[in-house]
Amino acid sequence: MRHIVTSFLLCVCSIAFSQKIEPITIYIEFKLDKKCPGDQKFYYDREEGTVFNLYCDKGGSFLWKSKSDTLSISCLQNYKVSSLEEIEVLEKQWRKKNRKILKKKFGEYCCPPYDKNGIFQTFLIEIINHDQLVLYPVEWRGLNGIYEYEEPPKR
Amino acid sequence: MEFFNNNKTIKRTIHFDNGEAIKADPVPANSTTGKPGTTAILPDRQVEEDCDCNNSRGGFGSLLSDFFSWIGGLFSNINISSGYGDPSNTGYVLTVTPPNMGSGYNIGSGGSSSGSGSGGVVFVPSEPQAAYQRMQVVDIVRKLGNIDATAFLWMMNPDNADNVNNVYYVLNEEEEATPETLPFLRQAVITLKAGGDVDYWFRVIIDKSLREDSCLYDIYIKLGQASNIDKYLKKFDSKFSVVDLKIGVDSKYAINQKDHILSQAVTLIPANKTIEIIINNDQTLPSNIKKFPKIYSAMVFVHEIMHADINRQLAIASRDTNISPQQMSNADWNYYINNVKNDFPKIFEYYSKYILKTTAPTDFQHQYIADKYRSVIKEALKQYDGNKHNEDFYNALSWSGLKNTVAWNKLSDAERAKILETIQTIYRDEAYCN
Repeated sequence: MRHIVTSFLLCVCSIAFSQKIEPITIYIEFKLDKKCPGDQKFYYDREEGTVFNLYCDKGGSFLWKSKSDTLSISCLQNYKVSSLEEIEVLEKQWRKKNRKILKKKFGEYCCPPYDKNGIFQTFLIEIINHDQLVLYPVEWRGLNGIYEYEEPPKR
Repeated sequence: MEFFNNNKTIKRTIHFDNGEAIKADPVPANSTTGKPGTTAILPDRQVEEDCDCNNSRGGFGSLLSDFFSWIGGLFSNINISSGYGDPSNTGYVLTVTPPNMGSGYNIGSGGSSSGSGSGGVVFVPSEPQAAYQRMQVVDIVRKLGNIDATAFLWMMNPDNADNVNNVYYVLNEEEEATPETLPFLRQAVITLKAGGDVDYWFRVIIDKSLREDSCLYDIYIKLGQASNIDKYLKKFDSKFSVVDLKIGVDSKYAINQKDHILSQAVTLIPANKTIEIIINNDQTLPSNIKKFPKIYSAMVFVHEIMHADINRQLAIASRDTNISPQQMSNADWNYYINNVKNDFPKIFEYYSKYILKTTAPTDFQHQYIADKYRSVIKEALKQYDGNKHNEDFYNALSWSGLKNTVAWNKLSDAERAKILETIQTIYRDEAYCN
């Protein structure tokens, strides 16, 4: 009996004190810019999902692969929509908060950088009509590559 | 069924038992002539005694005549053609063309359209052809799995017999296809179906987008002939290679790579056991690669292949080619980082310095390339253009894409100015695609 109680207490303690690297859930509003000449929302074969380019003239690109939820517009008040600037602040806060846990996880070789897909669980909110919105679970794009930059010739 | 390599020596023999393909060991070379022994076995028959053709009967030519004689007797009402373009041949021909694998000079030359089959053996009439192709497709689908209906129908199309034969050949060339072969061939089928090309020799998937861009494709082909690059591409060729390489061109880079529209190319980390290089060819962007001279495009190919090589090494160190630490468990991370440390100590040195032991991590790969791979880039470019220019020319090009590195900053002002000046001369004097 004593063994069972001890095991139970150990389990409870390990669950209570175990530290997990938890992502922050964020919501970003996606709006189609009717004046944008390029596609803002399209299926991209290479990545096998739908790309959402947040803006016509600047960055912020997301990939949606899995299911989405269509909800009543009244649900909009339940979600705190963040801007890209606010997300940068949240990212810094997350890094500071999780430094100890990361050190524990990665041990001697701490710490490889987490990117936005590791730090955030991101949803796009698109209002599709007066009554409904769609919630897309998405990933930030452009984080898995090494890009080459060189000033082009002036011809 | 026999498969020959480019020297017309038998590489693999396959015979058939109740519709199942069974591999036989290659017949050893004749000790007196040095030529291989030959054994002709028909696709829809079990091992046949009357196909026992050996060297003493005249080798390959004799094999063909024996074969025609045999099949002529069997199908006396069918005309048999031993070539294409025969106007009397109204039936189908089965083109048994081994993939063009004999040298490093034939990037992308596998998978020709049916009929021509350069250097192949052309025989067998319609019914066995259809049956044989069906058998091949069934075997491919069984082994690869995850083949969708459209790919299945594409493979069943007689027009694609050559491509199916190539896939079948690679799938069966070893006693057991390695786990790495299967995703490569799955990707190969998808690429071929989409009109792309597959380099079976280097195991490089050449996306349709690159295959159809004659200028960039020519640059890639010419570059593949440089022994320096050949060496790196071959690392993806090994049947034990954990990842394959795919190269493509994107004409909608502005929207597809929205956050990186100023870049000329990107090398992606492994996904689905494939490392992909995407070249910016978006005419709407000033950063598109065709706004640069052709020699610069060649440099970009080499530079990206170096990134792919680093990613390949990291993939070897990882579990299941996942090199993204945030997706690893603690155990996976320890396994990965210890493997990198032990097996690739130079890479680990840079990974540690620029990522692990700093509060402001930066891209370690460009630092590594600047220090370790610039000489490779220079040599490859010299081989590419026949060493037509002086050392400064190649040196200046080799710094492209590396101007945010510690190595670049260590150069004196005068050295940097000279390199930038040489680059401007290259931009002015060298040939462009357009």
